[in-house]
Amino acid sequence: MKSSRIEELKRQRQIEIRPKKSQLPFFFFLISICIVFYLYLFGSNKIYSIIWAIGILIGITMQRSGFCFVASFRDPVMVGSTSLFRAVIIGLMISTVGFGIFQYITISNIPNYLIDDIPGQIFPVGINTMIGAILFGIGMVIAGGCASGTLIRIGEGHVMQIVVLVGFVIGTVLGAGHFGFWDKLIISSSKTIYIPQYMGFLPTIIIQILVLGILYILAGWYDRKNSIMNL
Amino acid sequence: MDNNFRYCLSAGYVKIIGGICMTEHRLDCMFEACPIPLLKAHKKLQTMKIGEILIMQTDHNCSIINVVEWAKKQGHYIDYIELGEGQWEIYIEKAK
Amino acid sequence: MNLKHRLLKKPWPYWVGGVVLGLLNIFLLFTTGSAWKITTSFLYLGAGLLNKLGININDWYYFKTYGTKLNVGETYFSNSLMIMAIAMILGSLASALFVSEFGIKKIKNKKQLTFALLGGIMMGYGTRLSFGCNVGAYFSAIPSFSLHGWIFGIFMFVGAWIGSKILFKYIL
Repeated sequence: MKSSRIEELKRQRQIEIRPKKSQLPFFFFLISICIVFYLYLFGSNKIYSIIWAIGILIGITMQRSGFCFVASFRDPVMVGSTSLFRAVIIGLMISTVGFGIFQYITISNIPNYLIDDIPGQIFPVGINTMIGAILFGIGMVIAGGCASGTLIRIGEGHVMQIVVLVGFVIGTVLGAGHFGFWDKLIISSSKTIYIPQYMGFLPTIIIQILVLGILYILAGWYDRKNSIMNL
Repeated sequence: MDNNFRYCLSAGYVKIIGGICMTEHRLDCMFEACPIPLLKAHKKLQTMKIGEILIMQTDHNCSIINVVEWAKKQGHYIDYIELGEGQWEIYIEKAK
Repeated sequence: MNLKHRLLKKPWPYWVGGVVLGLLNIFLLFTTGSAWKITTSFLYLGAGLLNKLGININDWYYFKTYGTKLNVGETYFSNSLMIMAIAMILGSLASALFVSEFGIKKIKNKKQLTFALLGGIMMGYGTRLSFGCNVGAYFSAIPSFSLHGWIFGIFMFVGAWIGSKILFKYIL
């Protein structure tokens, strides 16, 4: 929405400020280095080269779209906006289908498969998950970024996120050091629940897509509700 | 015009542009982490009158996205310009 | 505003980010057999630095049990997770440079620095308990059909709510 007074302010300010220095040369220099490193990795370890390429694409995507997992949880509560939350749900829905297909293909070749044979992030769930998640949730809001967001913002030049990274290193080392304590207390009694083992592949995929879809619709309704009334 | 002018002077920072009197509020959110610029803008706008303008500076690119989206949802006029490398100035006119 | 300007200069819509990240995660799983995960690279960084200082943590209980052990031929500084982390930083840097938005953004004050450090430590500690961060135990865990992804998401929301209350009280 435009207003004539804002246009006037903008016009005045535009005269005052100097034109932006283009950083494009640095961009080309950096991209060349990245490509060279990619080729080097391609020669020695193809998997590393794929990870490198995908990592760079992830970095570009997250920076350009301003993707922030912290905001996807914080904004619905603080400002009633669920656009990021819904974007995360879309990502989850797409990867649900892709992951499901890949896991099914992989496991059909292994008749008596173990949890460790299944590709993906599958780990025990229990009180440890709850405590860890709450700690993570509090930490990400007060630090102003999650694990991915911290890396992205370091790339944008925020010195503060380097401090967050230092905190991460300290925290993970401490956590790994105390792992024995937590394992005896709660982790060893936590089960790993891999949902297709209980429901079968196709029902799991369909139900998960449905649940995510319902969440998406509810989030959209919540967002529209909050844009008409004043907070 | 007289009453308007007197009100403008008493409200603080005044700018006369093209004969129209504008009351501006400024907010410096440089170097502040992600939710802070939006929250400060929200708090400041609550104390402003309709027609007043909030000018804020920020260097977080997520702020230009979420402040712009939030202000539009609340029905305010909003626009921004880039001051330099990774620094923006946002203009919000309270409309409701 | 033509398409080129819209694609390159303006920020991309959130849903585009969501779609692309979902697709990239699938591609990563298909080609490398492992999903997207981040925080263990920070542990490796710490482990590598400690090793340089003479403190060997390879024998810790963590690495003997669930802990993600290094594969053959990897070191704490040279492994697949470190490559992902560095690639993400460089990708973001390249993207910022392309639109000339890169700038050193300093730390504002000591209070913010304390919260940043504290937040980082809490997050790091939490990831060891829940076997992952917002990516490894949420964005990659839910599509992997592991219940811990859903539980992590729900309680991360609870934690974010608590954190917002703290933020309101101390920073605003």
